[in-house]
Amino acid sequence: MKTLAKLLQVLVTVAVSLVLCTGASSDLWSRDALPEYVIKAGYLYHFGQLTEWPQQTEATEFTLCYYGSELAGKALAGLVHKKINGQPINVRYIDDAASAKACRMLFIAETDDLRSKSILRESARLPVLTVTDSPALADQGAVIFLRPEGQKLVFEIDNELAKQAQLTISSRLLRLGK
Amino acid sequence: MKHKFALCVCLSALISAGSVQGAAESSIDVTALSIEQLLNTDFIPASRIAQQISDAPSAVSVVTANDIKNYGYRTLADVLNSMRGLYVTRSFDYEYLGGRSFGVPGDYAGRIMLVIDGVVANENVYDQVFLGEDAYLDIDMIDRVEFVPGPGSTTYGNSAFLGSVHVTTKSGGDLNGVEVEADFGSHSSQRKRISYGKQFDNDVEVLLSASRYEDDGVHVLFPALDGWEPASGDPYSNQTVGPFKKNKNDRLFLKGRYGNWSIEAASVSRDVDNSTFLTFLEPADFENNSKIRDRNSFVTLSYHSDFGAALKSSTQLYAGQYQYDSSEVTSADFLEQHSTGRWLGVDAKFIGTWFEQHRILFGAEYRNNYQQDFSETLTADYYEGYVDGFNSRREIYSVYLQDEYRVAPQFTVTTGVRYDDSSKNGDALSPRIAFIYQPFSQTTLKLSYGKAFRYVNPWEVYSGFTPEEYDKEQVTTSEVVWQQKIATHLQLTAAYFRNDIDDAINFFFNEQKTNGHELGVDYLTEKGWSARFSIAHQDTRVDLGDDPINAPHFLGKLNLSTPTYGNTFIGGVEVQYLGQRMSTDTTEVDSEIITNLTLRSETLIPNARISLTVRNVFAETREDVLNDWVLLSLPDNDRSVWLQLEYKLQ
Repeated sequence: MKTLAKLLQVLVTVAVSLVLCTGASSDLWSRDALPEYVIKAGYLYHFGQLTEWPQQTEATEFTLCYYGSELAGKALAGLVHKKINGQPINVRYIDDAASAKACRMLFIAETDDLRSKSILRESARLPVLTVTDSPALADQGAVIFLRPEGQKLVFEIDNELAKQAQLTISSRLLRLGK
Repeated sequence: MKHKFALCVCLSALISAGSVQGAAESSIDVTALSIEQLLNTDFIPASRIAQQISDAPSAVSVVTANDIKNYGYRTLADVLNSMRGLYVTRSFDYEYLGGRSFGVPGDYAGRIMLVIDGVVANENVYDQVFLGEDAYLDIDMIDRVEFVPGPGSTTYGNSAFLGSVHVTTKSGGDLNGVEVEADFGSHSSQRKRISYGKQFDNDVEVLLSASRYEDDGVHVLFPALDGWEPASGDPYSNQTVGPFKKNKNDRLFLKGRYGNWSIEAASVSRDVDNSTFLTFLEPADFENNSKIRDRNSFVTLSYHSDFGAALKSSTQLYAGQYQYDSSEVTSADFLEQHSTGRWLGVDAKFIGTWFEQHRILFGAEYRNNYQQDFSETLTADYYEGYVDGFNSRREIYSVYLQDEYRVAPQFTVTTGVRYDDSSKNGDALSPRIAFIYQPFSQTTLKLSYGKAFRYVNPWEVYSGFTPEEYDKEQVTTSEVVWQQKIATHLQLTAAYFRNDIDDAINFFFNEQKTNGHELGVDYLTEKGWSARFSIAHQDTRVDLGDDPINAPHFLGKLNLSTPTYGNTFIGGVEVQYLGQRMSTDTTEVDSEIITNLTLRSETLIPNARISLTVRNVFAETREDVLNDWVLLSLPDNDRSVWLQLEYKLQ
């Protein structure tokens, strides 16, 4: 009974706090800062610009695939009407390894589940530029690993993997990577 | 009761009054920015449910640096106490970790291992891990903490018995400048810290940190001691006495990386002063002075290298030292104790990906506990003088192998085994098998079975904890986990586990069987609300007695945080329920509900973080079960305040 009374007291406090807080969201950060996934979408755009694929000129569009967090999907929607090297970007969600062959670039966002590993493994044999922000996938075959460093987002490039996938990453991009 | 309610409403109002509806996310054309500009743009972290990094087939709990700030955690004990199924018991001098139905007070970490950046951090005389002001790391040096339940001996060998706590520290780049901090709180507590971290362009990274903490101790209201009738009356029953647990510590932390080489070193020295300590064995003589000093340090050198695309390696050379000194002086006697533990070792780990569907991890470790010494001297009126102790040492050789086999894209089987051979305790084999199945992209099912062990340590042999023929205790664990994500904002975790402990090393039982059920919910909203709720139920049978000591049937945790005052502040509410449990004489100790509140801002003053935490807002009496046969629990109804001021120079 005593426990119940205590629990009730605590729950009332929490409820009061919750009811009074009607939710909030405004510019918590300095004006120069951008949301994490907006910056990541920007990076993907530039990775596309600064990489050469075999037979890339034959394609009519640039297929940018993603798997994992829906945050990535929301951010990539901002690239839908853009072009990479003259080719319109087609953003696609994939959730199995077989779909990877249709992708030029593949972003695996915030997951290291079994599907992500199998998709990544399948992509490694294809001319697909794989990018991830998941630390657990960084050493599992992704060409580019995006990670926070302090207040900034930085990226690491595994050029050996890129060469195996027949991708040519520009020296400018290689220089900027960690 | 009224003033408590008033206080709570005030705090709630403080957290919530400023809430406003927020602005929409900016719709910027990010392709207009050059890649160089992106590299120089600060990012606003997306709100997310923290995902585990460790490759464990169990239901892992994660606390990040952001959670540490949201809830004003001051020690690793605070962090662990917020996790599903874990609880911290505090005595006069140490914090003990309980979990998975094992909470024998005085038994240091229970049966859980502490791993800091991949290196085992238990000392080698008592197998203790330090969680309070005596812990290796200043809380602000911690990037994330993961609790991996289940047997970890397949990876870590000795002592990873019921689970392991993995601490990842911050790197130089995370600080990117100088941080100075000054904290103040109840009981004249204060902490000062200065840290510097930087990542230089040429692949060089450094982090240095020094901090000091001091307080004046707490006063405790003692209950009547049932059945205790000292000749001179019982002057401490229902009286406030103290101060106890007067703490002081100094910490140093260093981390550096140059290319594939990295080094990490930590040192902590902590003094506890219980100057009005009670001598229960001699009630007529309450004048007592007890002082304890624990000094811990470690250094690790690591080298990473790749042998082609299919083989990666990581080698760690480590050394550590533990020194314990205590003195307890009364007018009747004088007891002095000293322990020294020293160890060094090397661990070489390889990951091979030669075969299409296999990821093979293998390696070998050598650990030399070259000093494990203890001595005690007791001088009393009725003793001539009594000196005893031990000098011990042992070497452990280990090899391990693990294969992660992708049977199908959605199905993995991981099998592993580790063999340890100790010069003193014989050998041990720790196998584990785990099945992970992901039928849908948002659903993961895990099933695992494994064995773990813990060698008898020199202190336990000396104290007669266990018959001499026992070399080690063993546990067999089966676990089923179901994790369901619902979009990115909701995650459900349900787990069932069964532990069978044999040849247990303690005074209370030899065998223990536990069935446990755990449920966790993580929820986020787009407006920045974050909620984490968990409940754990454990049902345990021991061969001696009815219930295990200090192991509650139910534990509950609730953590809520939200931006408020137009996002100038972030408020955090934390509620922790610890169910009824049994003390050492089998009497029940009451359940408790502790509520903590934190309000912080990182935008009120540019480059500064201000944070105010009130712990135990309702001044609830919590009782910590002690390993003392006279005083069964240490009551504490202390409501404390903690103010943190941090300033960054970049």
